[in-house]
Amino acid sequence: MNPPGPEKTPFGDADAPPGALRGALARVEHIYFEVVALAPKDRDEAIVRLSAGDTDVAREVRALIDSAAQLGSFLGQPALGKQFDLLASESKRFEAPDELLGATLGAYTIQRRLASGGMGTVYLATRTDGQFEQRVAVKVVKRGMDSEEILRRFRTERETLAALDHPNIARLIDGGMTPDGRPFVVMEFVDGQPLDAYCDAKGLGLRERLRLFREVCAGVQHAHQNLVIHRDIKPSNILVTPAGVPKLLDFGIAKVISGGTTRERGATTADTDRRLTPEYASPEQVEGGPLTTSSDVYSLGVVLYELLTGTRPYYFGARTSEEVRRVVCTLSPLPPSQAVTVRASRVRTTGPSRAADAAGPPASGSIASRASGTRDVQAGQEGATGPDAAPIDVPKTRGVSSTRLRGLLRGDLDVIVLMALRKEPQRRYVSVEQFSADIGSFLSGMPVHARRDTLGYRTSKFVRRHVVGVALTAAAFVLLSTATTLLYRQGQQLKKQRTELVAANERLDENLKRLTESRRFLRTVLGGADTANQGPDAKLGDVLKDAATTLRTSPPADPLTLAAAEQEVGQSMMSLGLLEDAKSLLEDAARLYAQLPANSDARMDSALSLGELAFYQGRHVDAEARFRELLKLERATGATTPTERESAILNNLGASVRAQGRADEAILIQRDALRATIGALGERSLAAAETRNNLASALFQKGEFAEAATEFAAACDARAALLRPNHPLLVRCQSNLGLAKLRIGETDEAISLLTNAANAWDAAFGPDHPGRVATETALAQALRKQQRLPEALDRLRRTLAWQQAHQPKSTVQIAATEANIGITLTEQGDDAEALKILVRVVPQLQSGTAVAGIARSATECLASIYEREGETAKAKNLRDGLPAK
Amino acid sequence: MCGSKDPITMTSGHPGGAGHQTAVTQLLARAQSGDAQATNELFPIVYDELRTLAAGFMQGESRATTMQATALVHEAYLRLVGPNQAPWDNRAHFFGAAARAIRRILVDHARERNGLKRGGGKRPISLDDALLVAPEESTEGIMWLDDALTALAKLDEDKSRVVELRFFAGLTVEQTALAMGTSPSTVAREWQFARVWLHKEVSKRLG
Repeated sequence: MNPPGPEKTPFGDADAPPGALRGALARVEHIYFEVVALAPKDRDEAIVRLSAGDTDVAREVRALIDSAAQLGSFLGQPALGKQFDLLASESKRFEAPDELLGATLGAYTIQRRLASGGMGTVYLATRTDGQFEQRVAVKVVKRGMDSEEILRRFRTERETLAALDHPNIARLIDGGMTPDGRPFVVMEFVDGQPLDAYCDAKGLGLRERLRLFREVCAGVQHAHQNLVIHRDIKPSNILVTPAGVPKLLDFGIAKVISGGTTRERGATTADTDRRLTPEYASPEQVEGGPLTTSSDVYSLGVVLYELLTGTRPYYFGARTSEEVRRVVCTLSPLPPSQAVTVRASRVRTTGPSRAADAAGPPASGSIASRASGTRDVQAGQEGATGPDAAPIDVPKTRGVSSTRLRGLLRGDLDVIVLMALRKEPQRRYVSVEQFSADIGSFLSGMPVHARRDTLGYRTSKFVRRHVVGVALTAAAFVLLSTATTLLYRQGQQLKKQRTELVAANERLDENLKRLTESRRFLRTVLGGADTANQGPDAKLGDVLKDAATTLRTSPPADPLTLAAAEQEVGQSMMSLGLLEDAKSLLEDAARLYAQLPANSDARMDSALSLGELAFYQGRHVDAEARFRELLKLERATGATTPTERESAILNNLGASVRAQGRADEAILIQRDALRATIGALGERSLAAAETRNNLASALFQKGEFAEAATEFAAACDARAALLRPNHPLLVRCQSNLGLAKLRIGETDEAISLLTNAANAWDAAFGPDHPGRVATETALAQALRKQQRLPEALDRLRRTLAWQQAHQPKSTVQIAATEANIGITLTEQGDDAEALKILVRVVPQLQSGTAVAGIARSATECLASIYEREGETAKAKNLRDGLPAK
Repeated sequence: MCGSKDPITMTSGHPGGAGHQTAVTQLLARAQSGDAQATNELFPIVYDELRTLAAGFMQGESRATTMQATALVHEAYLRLVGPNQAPWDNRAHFFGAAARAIRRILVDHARERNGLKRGGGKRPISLDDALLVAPEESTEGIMWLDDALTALAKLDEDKSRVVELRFFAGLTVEQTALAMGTSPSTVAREWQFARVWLHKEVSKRLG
């Protein structure tokens, strides 16, 4: 409709010199504070006196005093508060001084802060009673967590945890509650370095790393024998003392703080998910399933992977739980030997790691900040680190060349690590002991127990289950699921299956790489735009145009990467209404995508965009053809249930058909669309409500007002259930319903609905929300029908005022409103005034088909005025010009 | 400043994490010593970081996920600078950048929403549009505020900074005072006046 163009700023007097304006504001401010302190009755006199004859200043101060009275909650909550549903206690974390420093908790005096993380803050403390000083780490759980529950769990777990007595486990000493009600635990203080940083700092070779890792296993094994699961094993939770002894921190703490598995709690997964470190979390963990010792085996597997290769098995494109789940549960990690290969070639990517990114935490850091190892940064926040994150030179630190390292890893070590990393808990090592024993066998040159994963497992139920849920973002996933379906059908033909799957996996890797590359490229393009560096004043449209220029002048070498970037930028431009710019990009993307299969996701999305573009540009015939073609392709994918894309295509097709005036056909398509939407997204979805609304629109266009009203009412009900009151979509629907009611002659009902809608626009968005134009126009019609002409005129004039302020002068909608005013005036008997208006606007209306109805009414009205004035020739002339009904 | 390409942005992949820590810490130190270029370079990094964090939270599957500006900024700080406490005046530049970044994210989001009639751009039209020439969401508010704030900055930059820190970064009056190196009472007064002034300006848009 009206793409937001560069906006005029209605503030201040742009022509006045800035210095003068500044001075004026200071003066206004001074007077304002003087005046606002007074009783209301004394203010006017004070304003006159203080402004000393400067009427501009006086007016400004009055306006401010008025505003102050209406201020309400304006800016009363931080900007993100509304979106994120504030948790007030969070802000406490941020208080500048830390009141715990120097405080005494039980027998311990807090000395200094060691680290902060998602769960809380860790302090170094000393024991104050007794003769010698004992240093401990005190972990204080952050506010806002369920203190009572944590304490309760702590009491339950305490004895078990305190019983863990092993040289490789940092002991739990005590726990309690701070004076302000936050739970804390006291642990043995380990003055050491995180495992990964230690290995790199010492330049440990492969075998030394493996030996150290086995010590870690010994600690975990001890805990498992005592029926304690760690749940959050990661390098930052394993500190190595200067003497070279690894110690596990936080044993069982994750359970105490997070309350065990989500399933046990029956709560949402959000909390636990956010606290978990997804890089080291097992599939059952990210799924919120029950945890066993096997989950620790998995996390140890990730730690070992990282120790051996310097990279992690998985990286996440986005830190959403959906993405984490997709990656952890469905993708296969590269064998460590290959990870080293790719690492050397310095390629970045997402998903299974083939990345050169330095893995995770910085390789070095002050010992103090690591000492308690609480970098338990929340999931969704700790991202893969940048390329400059102190990259470790793998070959050197592992004491061998990269080729040699690859050779060492290939074979037994690959198999051992991958066995620990299997998706299904029951298929991993049965115990940490076995895991460690296999490493021991490798070190001593004995045969290992681990076996290579077989193909059958790769397509196991677990993986397949997830493949179904995977979002269709990359063509890659279609390929994979196609391959899986294929496997299914071919049943016993194992050999063929294998070929298919391997090929699919290769394509998957290839596509993932491309996807990531294009995303990165796009970031470079957008982030590097001159306009993007202008700060908050840069207009999104300008940034996008810059990006388009960059794409033209220095395109990436890979055509599909270029296509993806063009598609993204083009789509965004289209959304902003920059249709011409969008067109060239989207068309170029489509041209480049032509090498992909027609039913690939990328190509289908590209085609969908081109259809939308055609629609927005008013090429409805073209749009229709495109949506029809797409529909054919979408349906040929053989999906047995409707897809979201199918529902979108149908909805768009219906709109295109309706725009061409074929209401009957549009109704049929919209009914189909409604079925598909309900099938894909459910009856109680916003999309279903929208499709229903569109169905009603088609019915309305056909003149089936009663049925349209029924459907509008249903859409309103659905939206009312899903949206807040006064949500624009809801108000709009109610307005539509009002209009339909007006058409079926339920005028009272219509007036009531439309008045409510107008008030809703008013209450939620101020009296001049653009949505109000149509509502007011309809309301004016209804009022006119009841001969409440002054009210109708009032509504129309307010609408006109808004339109004149906000719409381009030549818009036919403005002419339509004026025509409505003219018609209403003649009904009031004011022919003279009406004539003035209609003579001017009738010619303007001839051009717009969208206003054909009002054009005819206005023309007829003008002709009647001429007749009353005796100018029959003019009247006849006008009437002859009207198209036949 | 317009023409300068920011080398850090250009070479960075996924934003945030330890990799930026040194760079950001250095930028903060330079900004602190009055290097305006450093302030400019800081912005895109902080912006990227916050956008990623905010997107993560907005996409989070659970409505129960709670987050607020302060926490968001704090996380960005931890990720970009690290857990070691920097002096407050160093942080001030960070907060300034963060507040501007959040402002920009919200405005971009609003513009985007205003441009997009329907979810994801996949559903071009409905009778809604045919009857009501209206953008989908009431997103004008934040854009109007943005315009008003830009106007205010021309008249009194300190006041606009107070609004950015208080409203967009969610700082308290005391924190804002620390970040701006002024007294809480000054901040409180500036804040009070700026709110009223902005309300007056935004109200103009409402007629």
